[in-house]
Amino acid sequence: MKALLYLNEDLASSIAIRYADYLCSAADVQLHIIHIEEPDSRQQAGTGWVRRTWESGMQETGAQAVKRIIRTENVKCHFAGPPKIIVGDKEFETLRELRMGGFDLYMEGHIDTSSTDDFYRIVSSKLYSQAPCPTLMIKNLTVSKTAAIFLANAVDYQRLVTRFQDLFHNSKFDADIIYFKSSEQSELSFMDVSEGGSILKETEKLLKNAGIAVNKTSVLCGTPEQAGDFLRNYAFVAANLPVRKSLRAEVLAHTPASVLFC
Amino acid sequence: MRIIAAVDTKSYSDEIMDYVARLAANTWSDLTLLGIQSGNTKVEENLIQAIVRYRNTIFEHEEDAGLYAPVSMTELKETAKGRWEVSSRARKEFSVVIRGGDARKEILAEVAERNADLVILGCTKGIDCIWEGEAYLPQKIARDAPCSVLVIKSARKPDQIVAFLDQTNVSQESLEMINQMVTVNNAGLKIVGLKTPKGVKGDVEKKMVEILKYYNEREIGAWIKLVDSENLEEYVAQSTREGMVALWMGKESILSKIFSRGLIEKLISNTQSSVLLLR
Repeated sequence: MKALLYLNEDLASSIAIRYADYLCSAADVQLHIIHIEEPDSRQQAGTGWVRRTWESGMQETGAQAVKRIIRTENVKCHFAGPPKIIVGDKEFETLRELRMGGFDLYMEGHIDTSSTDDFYRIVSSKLYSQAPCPTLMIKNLTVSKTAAIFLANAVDYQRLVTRFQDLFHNSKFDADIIYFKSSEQSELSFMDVSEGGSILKETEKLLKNAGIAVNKTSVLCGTPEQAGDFLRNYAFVAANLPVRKSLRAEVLAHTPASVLFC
Repeated sequence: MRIIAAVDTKSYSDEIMDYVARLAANTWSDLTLLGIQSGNTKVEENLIQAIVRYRNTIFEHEEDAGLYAPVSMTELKETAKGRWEVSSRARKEFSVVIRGGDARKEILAEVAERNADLVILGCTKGIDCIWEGEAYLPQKIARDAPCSVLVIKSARKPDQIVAFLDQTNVSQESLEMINQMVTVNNAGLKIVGLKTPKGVKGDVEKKMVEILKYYNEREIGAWIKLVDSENLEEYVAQSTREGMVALWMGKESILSKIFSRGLIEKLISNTQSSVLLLR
């Protein structure tokens, strides 16, 4: 798969580059790096030579920052070409790069916070909602090779499985299918798989037909916080991109695991 | 490192012994079993019996045979008024000390005398966390001890250590202590950092990268989470349901400024698992 990783010189990117390194060891990934220097409105310089010189300076600053983080993190994976450093609006430039470059996956780091508002702000951004490929929100590192296929009532499981399969059918990842039911209770509980309805069987069938091993299928019953915490040990949680606030989206907001939006 | 396990004759003291044994063996610590009784004229028989039981648990669990040498309760000697002691040394020192009098004063006196690094106590389960006959003793020790304090409310192994580290001022010892807690419990580690409405400061981020690397290099997986400083108290309370909560409360810690002494007591009373205060 051809993947684009956004890097900055911060904690989120420090985690993201190491996660990408791990992903490269488990799947066939052609990794490209992008960094965008966003000038604030006061920094906008004139036109012509002045503008060109100013942009070159900003690009050089960005290039040095990316070089530092790659050197510091000392990752083993190989990059497909030098990092691309662009001066401009992050969302606009990233979307353009994804479209023009024919990428299969976009990855960036986001530190897990206790605020669901932060999560909703990110997933409702232009970048996430208009991305032409799945996006991987990297929150934390992992050692697992099992992904969680996250289902709930009325999710588009066919789209989810198809996208997951396109990315990971020849990888070392296997999958667990997790169906979430919301309930206010003191501890998370597991229900009989029949509670998940036909969607569980259909998803399992699609994954098996795609040659992806399914370890187990579970129906979780609890609060979004409890379910989010339960998902913490997975390599990532594959889910539909939430289009509105919901309890399902809250699970994804609360989980410390990385989330693959399909 | 020197650990003091403060005990009385009740079941909550019994229940922490397995944990004390594993932690002591893992950290190669000098270990003191500190028995507390009310009278200071003679050693009480029921306390002796309880300490023999605790001592046996320690030696049954000693994975690294030869770390401690056994001691016999018949060799207890009064070293000061109301204080009896017997000790032995193999690779590390193992001692039994019995002190009579006010429990808080006696525990703190022994901590000072031995220059302990960690005090461990059990307490009753439920809404309160008390020692029988000693209202809020664990809370008082946690509040007043100059060293780290671990209050174990539930003997159940926590799945997760939720460490609230004050990123800019974290000591090497406290990082190592959390490392041990993770290893002993075979638990996951969540590192919680503070952020303000303006975000996270660059130097704080750098420190968190260092902390994450420190644990990753020791093959300890860690999850990073940032919490708004204004929601910290609520988040800490919520975290006690997820596992053991570790708070760094050193003199320079911002956490010690946010968490007043009263809040520490409330946290220990309300926790459902265990609380580790790092100093």
